[in-house]
Amino acid sequence: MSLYRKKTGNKKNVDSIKSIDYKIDTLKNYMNNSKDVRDRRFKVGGKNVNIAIIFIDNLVDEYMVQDHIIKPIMSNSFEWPLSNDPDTILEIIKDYMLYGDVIEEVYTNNEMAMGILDGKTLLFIEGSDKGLIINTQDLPKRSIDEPQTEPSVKGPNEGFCESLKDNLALIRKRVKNPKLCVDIINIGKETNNNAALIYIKGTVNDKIAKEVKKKLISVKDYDIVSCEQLLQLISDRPFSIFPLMHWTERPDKAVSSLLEGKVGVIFDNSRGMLLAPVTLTCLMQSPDDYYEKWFIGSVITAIRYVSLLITVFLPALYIAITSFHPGMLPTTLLISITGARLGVPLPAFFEALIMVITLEILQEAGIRLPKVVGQTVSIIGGLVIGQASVQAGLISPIMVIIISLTAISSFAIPNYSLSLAARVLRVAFMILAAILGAFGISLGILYLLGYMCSLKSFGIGFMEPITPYRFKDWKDSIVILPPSVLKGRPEYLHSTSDTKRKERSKNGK
Amino acid sequence: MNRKSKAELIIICSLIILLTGCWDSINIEDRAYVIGIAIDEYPPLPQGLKNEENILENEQERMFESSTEVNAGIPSYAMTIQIPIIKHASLPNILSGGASEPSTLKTWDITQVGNSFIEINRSIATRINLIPYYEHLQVIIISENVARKGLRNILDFFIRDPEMRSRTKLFIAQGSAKKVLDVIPRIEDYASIYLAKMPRSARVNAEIIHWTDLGQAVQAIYSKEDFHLPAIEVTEFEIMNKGAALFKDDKMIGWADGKDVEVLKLMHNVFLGGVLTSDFVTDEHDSENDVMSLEIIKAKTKITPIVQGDDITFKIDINIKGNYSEGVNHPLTDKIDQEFIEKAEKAFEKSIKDQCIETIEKMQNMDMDVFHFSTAMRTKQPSYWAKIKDKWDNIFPDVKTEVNVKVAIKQIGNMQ
Repeated sequence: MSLYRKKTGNKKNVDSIKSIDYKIDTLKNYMNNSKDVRDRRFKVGGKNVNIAIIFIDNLVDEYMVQDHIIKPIMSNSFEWPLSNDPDTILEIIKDYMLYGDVIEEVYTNNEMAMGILDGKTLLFIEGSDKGLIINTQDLPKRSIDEPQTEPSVKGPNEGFCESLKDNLALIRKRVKNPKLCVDIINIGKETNNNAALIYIKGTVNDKIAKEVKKKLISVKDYDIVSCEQLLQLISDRPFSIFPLMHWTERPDKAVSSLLEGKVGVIFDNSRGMLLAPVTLTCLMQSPDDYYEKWFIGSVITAIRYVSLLITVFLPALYIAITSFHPGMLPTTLLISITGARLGVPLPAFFEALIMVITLEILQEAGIRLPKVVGQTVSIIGGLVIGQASVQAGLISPIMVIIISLTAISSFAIPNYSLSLAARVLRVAFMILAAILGAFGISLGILYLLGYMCSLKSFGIGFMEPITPYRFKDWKDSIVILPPSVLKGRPEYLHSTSDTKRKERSKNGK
Repeated sequence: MNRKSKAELIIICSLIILLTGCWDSINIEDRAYVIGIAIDEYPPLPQGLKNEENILENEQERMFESSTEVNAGIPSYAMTIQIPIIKHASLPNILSGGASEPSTLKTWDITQVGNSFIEINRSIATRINLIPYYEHLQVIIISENVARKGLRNILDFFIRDPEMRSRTKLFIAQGSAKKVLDVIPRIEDYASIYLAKMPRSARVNAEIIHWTDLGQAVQAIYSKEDFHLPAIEVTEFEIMNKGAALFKDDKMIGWADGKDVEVLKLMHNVFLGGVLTSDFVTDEHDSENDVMSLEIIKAKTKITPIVQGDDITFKIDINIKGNYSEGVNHPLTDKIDQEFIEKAEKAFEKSIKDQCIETIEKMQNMDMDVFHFSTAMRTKQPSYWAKIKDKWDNIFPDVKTEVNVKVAIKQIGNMQ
């Protein structure tokens, strides 16, 4: 505690406002006397001038403060000029002694406090208004880890982490190009976090980049903690059930999107990166498609679309067929399904609803449980969903098959947000099927298609390039052709350079 | 639209859906799936093979017979529907929760009498706790006696009802139709499904008719063409394809045997495959047992009407490709060389031609234009057809035919 105790003996001739104690007091008061704000007073070697540094205990690298700030100042062998002007001395200290890579001059309390809060060290000298902010940041962070929600078989295993700096580094090291621009925008009235806007100049559609930047600036005052909140704030349709920006934690995916002409947003302290604009087709792609031969990528993409359909529609179709249209089944299958349902007390809808709810509970529990006890869920879940409920006659075995297929299909969707949306839609379609049968499902599909076509992500339609119809873009969305065919950028993004090229060729004609 | 009226609209829309409820929803296990229908003459009440043994059920039928009241006059038809007893179906263990006993009844055949089939249908509902459902109807079997009275009145209900499918197969039973449903096939649970799958064998045997749809029959009736339907014969455990029943207008006139059906299929260009035989070619072997067989792979027929004055000739060109598949008592000294193949082709051509001429004559004697010569005339000589359209029934028995058969043997097997 003695360290924090105020020293009062050093007030001499100096104007009390410029006295170092006074300044430390004001600044500490400004920061509400937090106990982790620490100060250290010492004298410049070879000159009897008081000097003080202020920093936050846990945000700085102590060795850096000791070796790069205190040591060079105290043990300098500089031939001092005769003048005792504090500003000159500060200038000399800055120019000849401090080793810090980034040094800013600050004047107001707010600037000083912001610097300190950022993990930097504030230095000031008796008699001067000016302070120096020296970079000594050592913020706690996680090391770069495997992407957890988007694993890949052959792709790189680096994933974005929570540190803005590291994430930017992961992008920069993949695109060694001066055209890669990074804009930093401060977001949050209380939290003061940084968001970085990343794009490749000349590739990106300038309109989209400007739009994203405008949106980011417009939400400056919101205190948010996550990427997803930021996404909902800046997307055009905040009530949309589909994600309107593409969240990814794979740098390779982010970079290939940037190269296509998309805009990336990284929010400090939030895992992953947001990409805009987003389309359904790019939510359905996985980087693995590009780490394999083209036809395998294409076939697997097709399988993913099938699994999207299964996960949304299969339980609804089962309900519709068994309660409204048994004529749609082949006779032998009809007899098996009927045989399986004999003695099941519930109508198909409630049977399916119970199973879907159980499935959702299991999935949620699986995520929330600590990994150590995670296995319990799968064992109990397997018993409850599978064997026991069938043997007890509560659920028909066909229902178990349908629910397992539905669940497994939902895991095949590469984007987690999309798979969550599909899970919600599944229940909606089940209700429609229970009320109106296949007619209800068709009504639902009509509405859903209309809704999806109306969605826009920063001016680009969610269903591009399927509708509006751009057949040229299908080669890199519905199927994936070999890289030699995939020259140029997607048409639907209206990339600036492409537009320029077009104009040029028009003028040339 | 302001917010309040939007909210009202949503509430009204959801009320329309929610308050009306699931009006068509019936659980899959609450329906009675009719998989086969047999139509017999009444009286007498048709006696199935099984029912003759099962006195109890027979008694019930009699009890029911005496208590029947039909609105539309004196009943003249008896309709039997076949419903699978799903509890007794042969299902995998996990589905049925234990294998069913093989001796238990797999189906319930309910007979009801009446004049109107929709009325019969509804009166069946008085005897069963499930809702009869016809979308899985596989076969309609009509007894010979009923068919001779005419099909139009019977099939009317089946083409009008929205639950009926025009791909349902029609069969004509020699004798009682209900007996067919009572057959217990050895490799299938239900006689109806067994019977519906039987025409698939048409690709190996040309004596089986494979196009027998309800829709096609009705089309033929209304376009006033002569047509034929597959005939079946039945014993306790077996159903057998037995040629065809021939229809003029909508009434059955007579039977055609398997050989006639082969020719019929050749003429209609729907020959999927089959075997034709001929006497052996070489002269030393003239015993009747010495036969050789041709397995037909492809057959193509062209019928051209040639009109000269009032003289009508139908030129029938039949092109057949096939494999020499068997030679019974084939002498070892006879090598199969080019000469032999040419001889064999000639012999097959002759035997097919004879068969065709025989059948055509038979049909002409019955005045049954089942080959649809009328269609050939209508499409190729439309102006002449307009003149003779009304007299066709009188003209057909006397038209001349000229049959040209060309057989090409493609393979002779591994041995020479």
